[in-house]
Amino acid sequence: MKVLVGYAADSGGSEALAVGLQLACASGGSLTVCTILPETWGHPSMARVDGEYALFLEQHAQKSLEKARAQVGARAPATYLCRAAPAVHEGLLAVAAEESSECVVLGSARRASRGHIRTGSVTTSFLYSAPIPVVLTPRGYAPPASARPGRITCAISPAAEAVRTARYAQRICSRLKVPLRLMTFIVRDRQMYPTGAGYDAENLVANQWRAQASEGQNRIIAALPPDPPVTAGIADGKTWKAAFASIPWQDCEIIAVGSSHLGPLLRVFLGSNAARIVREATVPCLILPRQDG
Amino acid sequence: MTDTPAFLSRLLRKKPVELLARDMSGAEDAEHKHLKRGITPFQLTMFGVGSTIGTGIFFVLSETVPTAGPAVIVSFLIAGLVAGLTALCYAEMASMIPVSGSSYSYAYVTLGEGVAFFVACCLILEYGISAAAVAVGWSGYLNKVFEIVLGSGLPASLVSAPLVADGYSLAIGGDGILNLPAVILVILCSLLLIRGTTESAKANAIMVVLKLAILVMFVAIAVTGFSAANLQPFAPHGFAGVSAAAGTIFFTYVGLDAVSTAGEEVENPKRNLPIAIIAALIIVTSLYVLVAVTALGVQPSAAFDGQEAGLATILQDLTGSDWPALVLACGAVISVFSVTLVVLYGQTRILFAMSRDGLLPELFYRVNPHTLSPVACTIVVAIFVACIAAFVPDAVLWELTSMGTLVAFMVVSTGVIVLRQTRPDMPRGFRVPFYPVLPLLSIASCIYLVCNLNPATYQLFAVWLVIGGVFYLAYSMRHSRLEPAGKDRP
Repeated sequence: MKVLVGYAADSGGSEALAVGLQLACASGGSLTVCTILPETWGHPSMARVDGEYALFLEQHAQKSLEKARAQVGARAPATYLCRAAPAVHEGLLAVAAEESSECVVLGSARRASRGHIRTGSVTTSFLYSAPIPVVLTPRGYAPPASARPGRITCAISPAAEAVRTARYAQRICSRLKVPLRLMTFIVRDRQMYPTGAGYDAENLVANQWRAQASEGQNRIIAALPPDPPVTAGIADGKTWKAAFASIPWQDCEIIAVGSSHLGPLLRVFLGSNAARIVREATVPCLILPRQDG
Repeated sequence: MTDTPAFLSRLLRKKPVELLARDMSGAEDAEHKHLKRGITPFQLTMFGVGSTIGTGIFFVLSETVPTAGPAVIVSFLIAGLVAGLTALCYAEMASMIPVSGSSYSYAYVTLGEGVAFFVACCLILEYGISAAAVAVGWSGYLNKVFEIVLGSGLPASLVSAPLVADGYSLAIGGDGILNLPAVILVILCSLLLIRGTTESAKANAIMVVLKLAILVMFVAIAVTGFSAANLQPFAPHGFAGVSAAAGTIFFTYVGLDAVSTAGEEVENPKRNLPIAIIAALIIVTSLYVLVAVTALGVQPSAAFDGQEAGLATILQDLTGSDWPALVLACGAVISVFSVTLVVLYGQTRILFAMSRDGLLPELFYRVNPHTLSPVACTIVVAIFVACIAAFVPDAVLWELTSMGTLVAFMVVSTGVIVLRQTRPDMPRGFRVPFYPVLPLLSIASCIYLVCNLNPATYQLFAVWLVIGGVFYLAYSMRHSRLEPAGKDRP
């Protein structure tokens, strides 16, 4: 798999690089580490102040890429690029197209608390235009250098289009040689107060949804090829946090979410539930573009 | 056709309490062990106040003052007393079951399928019809806001129902085509429910403060224009008028039962349930009486007749200025919106529970995988309520709601007595005091209020029950989950 890492010389950059490296190693693919610089004026300014600035940026980028080189070492074939672009996400998209990257890895925004993912301005803009899967890494994520991805857990809500998301995730699993686990999240935080229908009314809906989700997961598993192996589970809790905690997670697991069926075709677009999963996730999050029928 | 014994056994079969517990079990109680949520008595009182105020005090005076005169104050006290008695009886029945449900669920477990279905028919009046009634009242206040802000309200043909209650018999006439704002409110609330919006305990607390604040504001301003002369004659239509008004006013206490269903959620229900019920009742009744007394002191009884957005109009007339009326109308618009949301929610979840039990088609319990809410059920409820809100005048809706609620509570109170005899062994988290006087008094008071409702209400209620009965015989009886060969849903 050709993996593109959006790199900056901060902790977010090294976390993204660590995950990108894992993916490249596991799939036997290659890595492109790319730093995007702001575009400077195309024509010379007075006293070449802009030229000096451009030079400074270039040197800074090279220094950053040096750090990346040190982190990657000889564990995977890697290219190091620095590119100027009017906006970071545009630059990354252009590089992804040139390099025919199959997946982009980005770090978390600095305001993310340790172990969690927050999308910053670059990630958000990139997410709404990416035609390839995007991996977001939690802040402070540092897998052991030799670790390989353990499994992909694909969060689905068993509607009609979920089978396409699951199929996509399974394809990535087969590239990474890891098993797939389908997971439906049931969060019981929707009880209305006060109500004459009782304070357990929403459990009735949640339990029904649980039964429906189980049936839906079985249908999806039946529609998928047998390899790589697929299991299914339900994460059920009073809050998103409790739901996440209710299921076991492996080391170096990746959680995959599909794009909303409301978003543009073949583009990444986070729906509200997917956005919640990204916010609550404590493992790298793989966001898949919307698939055509 | 089934033979009689089979029919009777179907009517009397009871849902096992374990099945109800399993249906309602949460994520953590894997062994169906119910976890107590620990609602405090204060919170519970706020739930009672929150779900009660807003279902009528903003609108009901225009209908009841012409019937009872200033003695409507007594009607409020009578209706409050009946609401308190029934809420206490309901609390005992609710506390027998270790899960929090609706009176339909409790009746199914304790009294059997036939009674449960009957209670459910009444609950549709208590929730579905009252949602429509509240939406109609909301429309009046929204129109008031438009009048004050834009200088003119919506055309009369768009804010009133085509049916008119001519001496309580329904007839087509009047200048309305449909009540558009009421329809829009129902649709908006349903969209929120489909999306999965909930009103949290905190949001409820904010709404309670808002409602109390605007009603206190009304009382504070209206008291400045108080004239004792307006309270004369006190009871122009005698006690008959007072009783008739009390029947309608009972509608304004609908929602108090939200306290009773918290049986297992509250710490020490034996002590805290009655405290919360009585505290909520005292707060609500005192506020209602204060609002009624001050409103009556400001204008003569005759002026109430047909007054839309009554409380806001009274403030406008009294102060000669628009802003107090605008504040009150805006407050009413916001808080009644939340009441409509909660009432519609209750209705959809009761139907959901019924369809899970097989008494309604599967359509009502399918959860939509995108919104994770019962979308089809919500849409059906929205269409039903919106049509009623669009075409039926509010006076009829209030009475129907009162009818449904009173009859449901009558059944519950009777159930308390029956169960004390037939199931004395069942543990009860809360027992009504002064047994059997209190449940008997509760039944008698419900009958008394029902007797004072209009004959047209009886006709509509009878038609509704016949529809329900036919549906039960034709569908529910055979599709019940308790049917031996019935569908076995996990």
